[in-house]
Parts: sequence; C-alpha cells; structure tokens
Amino acid sequence: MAVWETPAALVLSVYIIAIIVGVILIYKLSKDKTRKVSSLRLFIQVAAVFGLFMGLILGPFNQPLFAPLGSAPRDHLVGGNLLGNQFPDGISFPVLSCYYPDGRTVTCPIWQLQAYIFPYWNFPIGYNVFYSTSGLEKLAIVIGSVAVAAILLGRFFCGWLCPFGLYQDILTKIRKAAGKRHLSFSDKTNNALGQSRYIIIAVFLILSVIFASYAIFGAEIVPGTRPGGPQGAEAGLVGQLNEPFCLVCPMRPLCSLIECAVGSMNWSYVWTVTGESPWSGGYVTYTNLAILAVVSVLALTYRRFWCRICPLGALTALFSSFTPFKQIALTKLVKKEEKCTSCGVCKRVCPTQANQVFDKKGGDVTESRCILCARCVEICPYEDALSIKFAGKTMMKSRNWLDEKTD
Amino acid sequence: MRLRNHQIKVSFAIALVVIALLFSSTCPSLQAQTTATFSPADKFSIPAYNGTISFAVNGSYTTAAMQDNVWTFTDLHINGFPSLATLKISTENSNLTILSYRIRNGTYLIPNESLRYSIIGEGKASVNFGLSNAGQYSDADWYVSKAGRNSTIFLSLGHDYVLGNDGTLTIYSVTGNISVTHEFLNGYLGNTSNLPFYQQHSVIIAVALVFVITVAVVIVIRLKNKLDSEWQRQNGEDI
Repeated sequence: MAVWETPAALVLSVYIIAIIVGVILIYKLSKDKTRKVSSLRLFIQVAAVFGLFMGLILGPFNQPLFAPLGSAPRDHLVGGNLLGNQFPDGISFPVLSCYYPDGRTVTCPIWQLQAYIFPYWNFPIGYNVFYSTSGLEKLAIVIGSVAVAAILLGRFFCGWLCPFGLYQDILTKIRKAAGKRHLSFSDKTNNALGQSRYIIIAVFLILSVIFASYAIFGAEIVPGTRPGGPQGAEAGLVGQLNEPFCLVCPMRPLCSLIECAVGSMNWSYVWTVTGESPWSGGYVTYTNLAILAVVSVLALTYRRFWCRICPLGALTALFSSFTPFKQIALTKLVKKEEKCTSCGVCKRVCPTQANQVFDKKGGDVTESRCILCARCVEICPYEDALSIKFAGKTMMKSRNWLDEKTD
Repeated sequence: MRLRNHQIKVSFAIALVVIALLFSSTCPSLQAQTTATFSPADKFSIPAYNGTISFAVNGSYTTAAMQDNVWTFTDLHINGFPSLATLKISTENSNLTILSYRIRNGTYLIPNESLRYSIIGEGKASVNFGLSNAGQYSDADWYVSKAGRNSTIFLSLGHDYVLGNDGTLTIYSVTGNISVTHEFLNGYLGNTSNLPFYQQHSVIIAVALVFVITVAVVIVIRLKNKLDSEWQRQNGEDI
C-alpha cells in the first residue's frame, strides 16, 4: 500500500482541504462588517474539531509503516494523561467530544459521568483499560474538570468549541443558502426546552445509578448489572445499559459516520449495529440514527436546536449560570443599559433565543441558555452597548458598524 | 593410603546414587504423572443424583474421582483451551455437557476462570473452580449467564444461583447453554484501608485543591477588578 493510500494520508488530505476551504471562506466572510466575529468563531470551531480529533492524523493506525514510532501520541494524550493510568479515558472537556470514535484527545464528560457510575464504579477493567481508582474519585475528577472549565469560560465551549455546535451552524448556513428563514419557538416553549435538559441529564444519571445499584448500595436492582457482568458483545441487551445517554446521543453516529467516510474507522462498526433491538449495537444504534435525523431536521429549522436541550450544556450552565457560581464566573456577556436603545436585534439574532440580553436592564446578562457565541455583540450597532468580558477585561464589544458602512 | 581413601569416596558416592535411585522408585511425588484422555463419548455418571457429565470435545486429566456425588477432575485440559485446572462439578436429574473451561492469568487481563456448559433435564448443577485466592468468595466476582436466542440473560444471585462458603456455586433449574465466570476483581482492586487518609483519597484531595485554588484566584481577580473600577470612578468624580 502506498503512503498516499493509507487512512492517515487520506485523513490528512481531508484536513488540508478543509483548512484551505476554511481560510478562503473566512477571508470572504470577514469582508462583511457584521460577520467578523462569526468568521473568527467559524475558524476557531474548525480548529477545535482538528484539536479534539488530533489523534486521527497523529495515530499510527496499527500499520507497519508507523510501527517504528511506537505508541501513537493520541495514546499518550488519551491513555496516559496528567493523572496517569488512574484516569485513562482522557481529561473531561465540556464539549461533545465523543468517546467512541478514533483519535479524540479529550473525552465527553457525559460519557464519563455515566461510565464511572456504571459499570466502572468499582469494576477495574473495560475496553482494555484499567480503572484503578474508585468510581467516586473518577467522578470527582470529571465534575472538578467541568466545574473549573465552566467557572473560567462558561458556555463559551458550546458556542466556540463544540463540534456538534459547528455541525448545527453548518446546517444553518445550508438553510440560509437555500433562502429559507429560520423558525423560532415561543418563549414558553423555549423555556420548557431549556428546563428539559436538566431533566434529561438527571434521568440518565439516575438510570446509571440504578444500574450500578449493586456496586454502590449492594442491592442488584437490574439483574446482570453487577460488576463483571455486562461486558462485551456477549453481554447482550444488558451490555447496552452502559452509558445509556450515548444510545440516544446524536453526536455518536455523526462522528462515527464521518470517520468511516474518511477511512479512519471501519464501516463494520456502524453496520453491525443493528440487530436485535433499537438500543443494541456497537457504536451506532437505530435510535442514535433516528435522533440524529430528527435533530438535524430541527436544527435546519430552529437555530442551534440541540444546544437548547443539550444535557452537557446544562452541566456547564450549572457551574456558570447559577448561584454561587454565577457570581464568580469569569466570562460574561455584559450590557450597558445607557447605550441600549432596545431595538431588539440582539434577541432576534440569538441562536438559542436567550432573551435576558434584551429583557434585562443592564450589567451581567449571561444566562444558562447563552452559549457566548457573541452574535449579539457582533450585530449590535451601538458602540460598547454589549461586550464579552473575561476576568473584567473586554474581549470584544459591539461597535457602530452602521456608521462604518456609511463611511 | 591416598588411593584407598579415593576408593572409599567413590564407593560412597556410588552407594548414594543407588540409594537415591531406589528411593525414587518408591516415592510417588517423584513419579512421572500419567494422564488419561477422554472423548465426547465418555460419560461420568452420578447414579445417586441421576445425573451424567460429559465433555463436548476431547481432552485429558490426571485424575477423575467421584466423592460425595461430585466429580473432581485434576489437571483438566480441554482441547482448544490450553489451561490445566481443577474442576469439581455435579448435577442432579440432568445431563450436563462441558463445552469449555478456561483459566486466564495474564498480566494484562484480570485473572479469570470461565466454564461453559450445556444442560438438559432439571437443570441443577454445582461447580467449584478450586480457587485458592482470597477473593473467590466475594459474590461480586461471579456472574452466571444463559445464552438466549438473541441475547444473553444474566441470572440473578440468590434466585437462580447461590454461592456457598467453600466457593461452590449451585445453579438451580436453569437449562440451556450456561456460562459461569469468576473474575478476581476484589483482589485486583486491592485494599487501601491501611493507607493514611491523604493517600486513600489523594485523587479527590487533588481535585478539590485545584477547584479551591481556581475559585480563590477568580475571587481575587473579581475583587481587584471591583477595586480598580471604584478607584477609577472616584478619580473620575474628583476630576
């Protein structure tokens, strides 16, 4: 096999083409005075995808060509991180950096929260990885990582770094290219969606605790869920109880399918899915695919639909938008009431329909639905009326682009 | 004189060798062990329990003896599974066929033992892997499953099977293809209760420290910003 025929070379080619297309796109978009922040954000989103799945181009793919290099850098990043083998799945990073595909450099905290409750509360091995610390300690690392990240940057992760956010933004661009206008939810529905994400994360964590009941409380509620039970393909349906949210998460099929398409994952991971029930399968289930399809259609119509119900966003919001964390969060969207004319453009352009930026009088207008994408800051035509501040320093602020255009 | 001494020494050495050879022929521990082979046609019956045990494939053992209606196979080797192991097994009103018996002691995997068998009849069976490690009696280390048509059914401890104090697992009224696996989980996890508190909970302490330091730094930054803005406001007012 020639070098250019290897999966690594194929993935590298895709990366290079994507970078070239991205640079051209950003250059063209940056000429628009109301798209400067969006262009920067797009660039960072694409770069974040490369960073999150860096292992795709660093990994040796178990090929003889790369054998002299030894273990892949991604294995060091994923397997032997700062905490060594005590925490082998990689540092928690509050974006949907899915656990399942190849090449990830960090791990989705939702997967970790579920997996470290069940089955790895006190089960020390899985997927050829040792978990020598207790479930409680592993959970402490996950929650600590998310809390620190959320206190420092809030839901900036959702707006600027999450790969699934980028996917939804691409769908929005497709809709715009087709000349279709987006739809909006009523405030009541949007609020209900915002609250539902806390219910979603609570339900799945409670499910994990029920499955781990033997390990935690010594009473096996669901037969076959004791440590050592549901492992591998032989575990059947019980084996699918590991990480129940991942069975319905739309990110898992998305990145698995993309990685199959660029040759870094075997299609058999996707197509052996299927079988006995909508829940069963290796990397992708029928349920995954159905939810990805539904979310994609909804995200085409309603901007950033998934972000409104995302349980990971809810987790980040818990540590950045609610007391006492709200008071100490470092990244904020700030409004100067005296410079605001209540034109309402900020509310209209907000992709998640966060309305405090319009409704609240002034000061800190960050809320749990705000993904700090800065679209409102970018589009607000009043100098310094809106700004994103980090540690009290203004990182970006609205400017009078109407006058700039007139000039 | 010197020659005579040498002859005595040689004679003594030869006598020692002869004695050793004679002694070795009477010492069972030094005898070469003989193995017996079996095939699927061989039946190991338990008349009092109206049960029989057989193997699905060929293999061998050093000894096979029935005591208290339990067959004990020592150095059991089933073709395709290279491990040698002791297995104590019994069944009542059933015909039990051993499909595989595997022991893994690799450094990468957790030590585990796995027995698969097919059983027809009443479905009662008892197995004992003859484990010697301390963790064998922890019921969390065991799981018993039955192969279903499209999935695996995990049997329930206390209802479908029980674990005795001697490490014997008794499975009740379950027919079909059964898998019994023991994994030395508790032994692998180790016991940290003897360590000092800070070593037992070092990870949680480290995470809590990072969190507290972050919060402290953030609070200091916010206080500084507040003081700066107040100072600027006061200066502005003075001007």
